[in-house]
Amino acid sequence: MQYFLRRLLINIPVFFAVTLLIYGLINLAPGDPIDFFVNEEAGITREDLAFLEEQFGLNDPFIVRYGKWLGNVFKGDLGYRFKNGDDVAEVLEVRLQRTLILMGSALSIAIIGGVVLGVFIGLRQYSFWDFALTGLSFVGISMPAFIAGIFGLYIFSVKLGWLPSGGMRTIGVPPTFLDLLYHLILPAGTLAILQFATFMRYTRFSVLELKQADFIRTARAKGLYRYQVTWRHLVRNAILPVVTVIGLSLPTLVAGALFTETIYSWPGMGSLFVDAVMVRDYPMVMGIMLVIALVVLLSNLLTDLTYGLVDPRIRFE
Amino acid sequence: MIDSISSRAVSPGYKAWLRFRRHPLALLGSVMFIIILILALFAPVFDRYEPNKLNLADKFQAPSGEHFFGTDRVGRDIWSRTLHGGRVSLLVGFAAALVSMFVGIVLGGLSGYYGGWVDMLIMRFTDVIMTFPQVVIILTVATFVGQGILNVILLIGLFSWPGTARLVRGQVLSLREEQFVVAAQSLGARDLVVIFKHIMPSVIAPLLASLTFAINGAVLLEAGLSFLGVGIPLPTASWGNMLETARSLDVLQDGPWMWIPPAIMILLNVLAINFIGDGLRDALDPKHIV
Repeated sequence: MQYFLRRLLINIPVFFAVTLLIYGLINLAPGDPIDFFVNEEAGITREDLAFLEEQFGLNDPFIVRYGKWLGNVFKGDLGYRFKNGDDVAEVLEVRLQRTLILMGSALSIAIIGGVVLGVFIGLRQYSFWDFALTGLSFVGISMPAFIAGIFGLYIFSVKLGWLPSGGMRTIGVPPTFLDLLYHLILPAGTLAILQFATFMRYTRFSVLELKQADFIRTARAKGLYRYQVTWRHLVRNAILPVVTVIGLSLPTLVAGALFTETIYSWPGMGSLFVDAVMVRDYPMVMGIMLVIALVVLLSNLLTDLTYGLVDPRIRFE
Repeated sequence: MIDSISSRAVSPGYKAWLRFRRHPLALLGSVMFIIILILALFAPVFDRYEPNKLNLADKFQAPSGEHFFGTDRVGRDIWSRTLHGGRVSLLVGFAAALVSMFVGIVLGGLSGYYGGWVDMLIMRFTDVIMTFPQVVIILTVATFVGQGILNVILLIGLFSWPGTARLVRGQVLSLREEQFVVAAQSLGARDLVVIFKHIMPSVIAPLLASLTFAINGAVLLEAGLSFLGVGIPLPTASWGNMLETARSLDVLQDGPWMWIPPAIMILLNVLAINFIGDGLRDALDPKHIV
């Protein structure tokens, strides 16, 4: 418990620093919101602009403006989009859900597939399957989402016509779970590749390393059945460090989602971010960055916590 | 062969090379990478057309004897653009990786050597940068600093150093109590000299492997940014902005020759460097015995 509290406390200053970074970065952007909204030709004078700037506090020192923004953020007010005036927080709620569906599916595929296959080939070092899958995993870790995405789209949608080219549901049909699944296959598969290969390699390595461990030899020497040693002693302990790798993979997953969503026009947070950046819709950009930071920090915390739970040695740290 | 090695003092570097040489994937990767590098470096020798020259009469042509890889929408030769694009992509990859290694070494070195509040400050800063996927920060900043090769290099370099910094910090932390460091200190060497002249050479080995991964990261980031349209501006070709053409459905569907070559080159290049990096890591690992 103390361990968990300490991890939590470390993350609080990091979170504040993150908000400062977000605000600072956007503050570097040229122009201000007034330029964005005011049409010079509508007969607005310099004095009017100066008045507006003063009224909205745009001339206040950086710290004051940052403080105001942060205060609003804590009240759940992320402002309104430059692009169309929508409430940023409301838009985010919908978009985040869709992104979590995509990332969750991809991560599940990668964890289950990667760990199972990693254990499988780890127990059969130098077999045909070991060479084949290790070779494939090299291709997997070298395959960025945007290349996997284009090939996926070209092969399975354009050429074979098996899967839809994008979106979340078939238009004109009431949304069903199966339809969502059908639209999810390609993007989730694309997003899963890199993580799948990473988890598989790591699990294999972990299994191989533990095979040499003293306690495995002891277990064998005790006369336990082979399957008991393999499953209860070896595999359970080998999967342990994979938890960390899974937790640390989140930023990569978010980056992958950016490309995957853009390619398959999945209406989530990633494609929205690319959109917002392109039209300099800064309130939206800041909102998304904030959510990403929160999700990543939370997952780090969760990783620490899970690791503390599954590995009793952590408590003696 | 064995005799000639054991009869003289063998440097650790030479030992590492022996191990590297026996790593089949590392050798395969090196060969692949050298071929790619030659194609890129000598692009003007192998190209058949000006890479940026428009030729509207020959636009959207499938591969043929005239144009090995066909032409794009405005009649530019894809084979030539793939070669020249490789130059740009590799230049960005190497330069950005060097920038990020430099920043990482300096920050990691200071952090590990001084410890205390310097360490605390630098490491929390590292945590903050690591909270975001690089693409997210770079994309945001890229829209207001403008496009261009130099900007892309700097942006990638300046936001990719946290991994290196952590690695260096860990190494320096474990080395700073060593006798040779204490010796240098007691001879009155200044801190910066101790860090960068005495300690750093011992950190080079693990850094070499991480340099290869940094290059890959940078090549992929350039490709990703260009793919989204904020990387290397046209008409200059890069693998990433060639790939970007696949974002319009007609090219994706009817002109696969326009985007398959750069896609394959990115994949092969990343694969080759991953092989090399893997081999280097195994070869430079002191626990690893030949």
